[in-house]
Amino acid sequence: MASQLKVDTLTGVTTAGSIVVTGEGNSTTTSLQQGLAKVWARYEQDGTNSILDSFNVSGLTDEGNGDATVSIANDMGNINYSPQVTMWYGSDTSTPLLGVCGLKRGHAPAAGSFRVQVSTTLWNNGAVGADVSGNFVAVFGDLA
Amino acid sequence: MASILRVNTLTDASSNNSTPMATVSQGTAKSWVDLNGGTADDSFNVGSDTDNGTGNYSFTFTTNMSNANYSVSGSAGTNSNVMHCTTAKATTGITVTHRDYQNTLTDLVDSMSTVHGDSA
Repeated sequence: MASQLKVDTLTGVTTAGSIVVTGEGNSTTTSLQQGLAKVWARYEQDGTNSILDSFNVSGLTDEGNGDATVSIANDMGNINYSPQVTMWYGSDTSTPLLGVCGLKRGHAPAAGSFRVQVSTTLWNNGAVGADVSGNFVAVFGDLA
Repeated sequence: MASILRVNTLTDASSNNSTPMATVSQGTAKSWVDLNGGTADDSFNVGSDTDNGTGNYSFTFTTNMSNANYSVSGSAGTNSNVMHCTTAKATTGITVTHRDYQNTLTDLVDSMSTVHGDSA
């Protein structure tokens, strides 16, 4: 029989921050809390510097071409989290095809923020910071 | 006392934000890791990690995936001119490499990967 649980907050019984979910193969379990994205956002720097949609993001700071700091509303528990970053040129076909993005060199992530750099690059010709219309980030790790 | 709740759908107390358990399970990352030069600074569902050489790292899952058709997303942290490439994946773990724009393998302080798919 189908069932529906109405609840605002799920909390583990043995450990408040640990609830497991049965895996798709029905033979193992996986941690719900560890598998949840703690932050995600889509923002743009092409034209305006703005957040289009997000979760657990308190702000975006324009640091330069393709360079932005994403501020986290509820901080992570440490700096060893795993941010995923990708990008989209949008309708701009004038820029080189190859783009790279990641956390900005020399700026380690902090519990309350991380800094992203998007660059266009030509083979063997270095990389140049580029403002693009689609910046996508998601963070996995431990909440504070 | 540990307990098991068997339910098809989670809904908040106002009957909004209804989420089927299949979405909870499928949408939950099955593994993530922050590798520092091939050694995990922090991770979830990672059994061991191996530095295979410059810019080439592997890690295994504690609980395996049910097949190799899972999704890996990754980022090269603290060096924005380096790409993250998944070069091998199996039910037991994955290998990632990082190359700069000159196609040279490069070590990273933060090599970050996340896995979504079906766990065993």
